[in-house]
Amino acid sequence: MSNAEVSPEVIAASAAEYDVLPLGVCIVDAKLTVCAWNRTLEGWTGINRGDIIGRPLSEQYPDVARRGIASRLAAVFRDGAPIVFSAALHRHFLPILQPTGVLMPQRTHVTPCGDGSGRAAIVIEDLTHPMSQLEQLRRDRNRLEQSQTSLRRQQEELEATNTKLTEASRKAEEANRSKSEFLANMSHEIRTPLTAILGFADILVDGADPEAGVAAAETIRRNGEHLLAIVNDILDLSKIEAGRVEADLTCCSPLDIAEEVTSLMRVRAEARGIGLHLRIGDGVPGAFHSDPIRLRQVLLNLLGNAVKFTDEGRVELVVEAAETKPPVDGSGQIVFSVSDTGIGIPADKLRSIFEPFNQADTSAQRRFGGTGLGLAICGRLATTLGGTIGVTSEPGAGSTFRLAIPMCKASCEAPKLGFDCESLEAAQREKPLPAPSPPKPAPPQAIANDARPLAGRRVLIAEDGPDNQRLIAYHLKKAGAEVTVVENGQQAVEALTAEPSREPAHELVLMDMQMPVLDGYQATTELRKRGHAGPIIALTAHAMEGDRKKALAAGCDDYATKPINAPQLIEMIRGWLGKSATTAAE
Amino acid sequence: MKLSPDQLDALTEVVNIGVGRAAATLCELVDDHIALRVPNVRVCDPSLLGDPTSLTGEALDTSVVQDFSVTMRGRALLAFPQSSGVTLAQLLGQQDEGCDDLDFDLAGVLEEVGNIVLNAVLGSLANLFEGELDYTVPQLRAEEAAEGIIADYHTGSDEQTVLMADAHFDVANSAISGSLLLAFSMNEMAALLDKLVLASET
Repeated sequence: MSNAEVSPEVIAASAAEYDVLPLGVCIVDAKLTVCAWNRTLEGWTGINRGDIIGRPLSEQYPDVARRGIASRLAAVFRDGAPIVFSAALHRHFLPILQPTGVLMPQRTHVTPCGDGSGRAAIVIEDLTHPMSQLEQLRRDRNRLEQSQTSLRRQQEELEATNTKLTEASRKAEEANRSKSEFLANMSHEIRTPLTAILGFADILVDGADPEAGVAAAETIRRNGEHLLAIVNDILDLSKIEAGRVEADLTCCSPLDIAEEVTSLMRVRAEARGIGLHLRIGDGVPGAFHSDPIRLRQVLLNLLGNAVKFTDEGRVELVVEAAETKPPVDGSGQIVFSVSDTGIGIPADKLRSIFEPFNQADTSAQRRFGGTGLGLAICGRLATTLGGTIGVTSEPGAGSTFRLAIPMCKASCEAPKLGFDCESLEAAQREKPLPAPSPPKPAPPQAIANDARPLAGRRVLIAEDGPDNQRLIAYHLKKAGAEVTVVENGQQAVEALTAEPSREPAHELVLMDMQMPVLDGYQATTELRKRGHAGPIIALTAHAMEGDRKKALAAGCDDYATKPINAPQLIEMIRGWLGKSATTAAE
Repeated sequence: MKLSPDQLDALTEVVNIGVGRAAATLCELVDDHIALRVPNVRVCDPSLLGDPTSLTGEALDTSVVQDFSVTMRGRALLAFPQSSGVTLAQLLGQQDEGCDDLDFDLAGVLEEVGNIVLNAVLGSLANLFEGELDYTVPQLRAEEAAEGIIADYHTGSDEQTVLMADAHFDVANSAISGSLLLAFSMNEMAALLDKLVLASET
């Protein structure tokens, strides 16, 4: 077909019909001769319709005659089915150079005109804009995904930080709680001997008879020594924690040290009626390098605990040689094991007993005093000696503490290994212990008017410490009271609930709050539950904030702290007995 | 509508004639070997179509759709699970695999492939009637269940039936499964079956 075979009317009509479309439209007949070429295509290709209409499309675009395209175009005319040419497979169906110098991406479909002319329309869509939009969308999506990933990462980091902070907060709270418990215990442990010291000093000042005076002085000395031991423990632990204690390695005999500590503890063990044994295993060297002072300190502490916590049976110190794991040439370990048949340690306490401010039993029923620092000191000293300490225990059956330190069998003629240890004694010389401040004396007028303000009044003292029993009983008796002493809360409950209802044998109870068997809190609660209405005064060495509230909450009427102030205590008792009498009269 | 085994065999053969033509066109298009098989054809009520799934058990949610009319009227779908459709388009368009998104280019490729297959199958059926069909331009419908697209098609009061077949593409050592679905009126299906009988007799 040539230009001359297509009428100008057809060309004009076709152009008018398709020119309004934003698509490239080319009408072809079955021979792919161009019948119409719209304005959009003119603009895209620069080919005027007058130059192409009536000419074979392949003249300008040879690719349409390619096998893969020509056969499908032929099918449009044969079957009447529209076909599409995708941008990906036919990006340049009619190659059109854009002003940017890039070929236009296209989506093309070819569909029969349906007007009986036997022609088909090639409709070309410019995908430049949609693709650039899609690209933009992809970039936006990628950025969004990156942002989301970044946000997720930040969220994860925040969650991790939050978890760490929560854990740190929990540990801080736990540490604070432990410290508070420690302070409460320390307060109790220090106040208990002070109560005896100050109280018996008052007795001496009052002018006791010679026999009572000697007994009072011995009590003061014994409690003073106990107080010194507590202060020493605190100082020792402080020094170790501050890193001021180093092992002073020297040639020493593990056998001598073991025999020495066993010998030192034997008297105390025999006093408690338990056996103390020493066993030396094979391979233990006659001499090795270690710090004998610190080693002796650890062993004395372990043996002291074993004896203290064992009511019957035996305590044994075993010294053995052991291989290190993994084995190291020329070295091994000496293991000191202290076993007892005592009360044992609950499994959940085993991990914390070497921590400072922790004791296996912090409850008020503790039967055994002590600072709770001994094992913490042992743990630190074991590390200082280059070794480890551990424990196995079964409640009710006993415990075994195992100290393992390097054997260091080097010749004892060898020079010191460069450790410069500062002894505890030196530290104590450098920092003398401050003298405890005596409590302020009570106003003398309290009992000045009446030398026997409690004459004939019946008071029950529930107190487990023998020194305090004697001290409190002394003051009350001196004030004229009739005193009965029991050792724990259970005995107090029994004594008071066995009383006939009309004439109580005890008008007032002085209740120590920390006692074995049944503590003061439990005993008071039990008494109130059983209907005991008489006054109960809490007497405790716990002087921390909250202790008063705790005592009153348990059912006590009043609260007095140790060391006792005898005049104030007597005045308090007299006050409560007066109220009690008034209440009874009413 | 229940078809006899002979009717189903004949229908399968006609569909496969079209499928074979489509495969040849695809081979020519991408200049590579492509096998396309439709091993069995079945006919069911549209209401029983339920949730058609591919052989892999995934939902058919990406379809190329073409409506046809005149000699027969109906709707034709070549449907895939999206991941399979994306893979097929990537293989044919020689694009990098690995992304599951049906982007602009891949949608175009899938649309063209569907167009080739549907044109060929419908052309094969139309030949039985010795008549012509009018077709709409193919359209890709993504993220839309195939049974919903079939259900949307109405041809008046005539009861509808669906011819359904599994379609297997073997491209570049990969096997991809989709489904071919043709919805048309029961009467036209009956007429189609009559033509099949006539064709087999001749």
